[in-house]
Amino acid sequence: MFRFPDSPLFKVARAEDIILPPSPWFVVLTLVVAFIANLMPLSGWALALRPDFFAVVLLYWAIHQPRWIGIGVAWLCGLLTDVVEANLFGQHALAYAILGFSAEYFHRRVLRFPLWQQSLHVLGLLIAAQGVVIVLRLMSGAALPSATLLLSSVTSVLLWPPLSALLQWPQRVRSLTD
Amino acid sequence: MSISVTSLPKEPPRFFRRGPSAVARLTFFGLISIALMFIDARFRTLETIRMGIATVVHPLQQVALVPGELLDGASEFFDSRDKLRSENEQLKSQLLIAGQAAQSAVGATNESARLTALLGASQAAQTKAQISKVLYLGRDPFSQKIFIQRGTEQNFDAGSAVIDGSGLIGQLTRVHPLLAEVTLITEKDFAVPVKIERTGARMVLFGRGPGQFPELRFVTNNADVLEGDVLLTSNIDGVYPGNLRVAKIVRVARGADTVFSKIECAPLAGVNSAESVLVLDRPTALTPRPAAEAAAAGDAKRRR
Repeated sequence: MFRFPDSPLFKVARAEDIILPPSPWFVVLTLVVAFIANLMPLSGWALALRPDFFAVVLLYWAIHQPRWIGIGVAWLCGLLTDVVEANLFGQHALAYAILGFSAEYFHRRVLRFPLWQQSLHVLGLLIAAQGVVIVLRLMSGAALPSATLLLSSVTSVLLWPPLSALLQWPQRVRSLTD
Repeated sequence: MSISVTSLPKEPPRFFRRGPSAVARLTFFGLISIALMFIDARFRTLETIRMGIATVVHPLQQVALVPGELLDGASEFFDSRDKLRSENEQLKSQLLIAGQAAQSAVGATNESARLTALLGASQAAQTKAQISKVLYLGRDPFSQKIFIQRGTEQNFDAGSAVIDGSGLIGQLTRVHPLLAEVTLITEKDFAVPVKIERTGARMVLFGRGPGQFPELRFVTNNADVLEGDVLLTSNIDGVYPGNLRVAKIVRVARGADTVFSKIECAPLAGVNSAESVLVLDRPTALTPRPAAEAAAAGDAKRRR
């Protein structure tokens, strides 16, 4: 069976492992950093291939800490995205709220899978969220963009395994890392 | 003996108070989002909220621009002398050509001033321009926008025309305290009233969205339109000052089965590549309609 290399980069705690709770400040900090990463002034292919950092980090915390990051927070984050991207007010809010909901619905199940299978779940969720945005924009009269739009979901998913390991780093107990 | 297997309850027991259910919350926020989208698309009354959030988020936006600026600075530092020299020579020759054009325009301007004076029409005031730097291109894949810097003393007006050295780029659509949003002429259904430089025939240029050339719509098959014709703003709407270069016709397809031709035009300005732009003040208001004509028009509308 296909397996990721056995490096700390791809190692995360399984659902039954005990890890430390994350610090609330760390959660906020990672969200802010992801938001700024989304604001990078890119265009053309770089923009098409840019993962949606904010959505991935949001989804990570919504799956790992559903009590803190839920539908409401996700909705607010979407609203912020709408303002800085200067598009229809509320489209990302709805898409991110749906991400938050599906994370809440799936979080017990997703964490039982190894990382690469988690990625497949995440791919489905992200494409569903993008589909919502596309349908909303087409309904409001925008032109259909090229299919490269969906590439960002794929790169976002490639980001999932290393990002999961990275974001869980401060929570490891010593016995796990040894 | 049978073992009864009960499935786990879907919801946690009631003594763990977790607020309203997930479905209820999703419905709540979903309805708010849909309401917001409807209000934003139909009435455009959320601009103050948008502006407030944009101002709060602005510092983060500045932080995101830093890596790009550092890269630019580094590459500028390592620019070779040869490159700078050749660029300098190119600019000098461009300046010469522009100077020559300006000199030949003097005669024409004087003549047109005399003619307008003869006609008794008021001479349009010289439009003022403010220079601004392009910060970044819009990231929304569905629309065509760029964001430009706004100095604290710069007095931008939503609706002003934005140009670069070679032609019209678009129109200011939102003015935030420290930056402004420009909708490009390639935005879907963005209309610019134009005239053909060669013939003076008035038409309307429509944008068609990302990756596609704008087109002239509703031009009959027998109209005098040639590939290579240059389109200028016609100032018929009172939004764009007249005689700005807009686009060049690249393809004319006259169909035997349709009434109108399909005419594609390439923007002359570097719509997606301009580094600095000029924001033009709106032209002086058009003279109001004569009272008799306005009343007649009102009557006609009422009858309809």
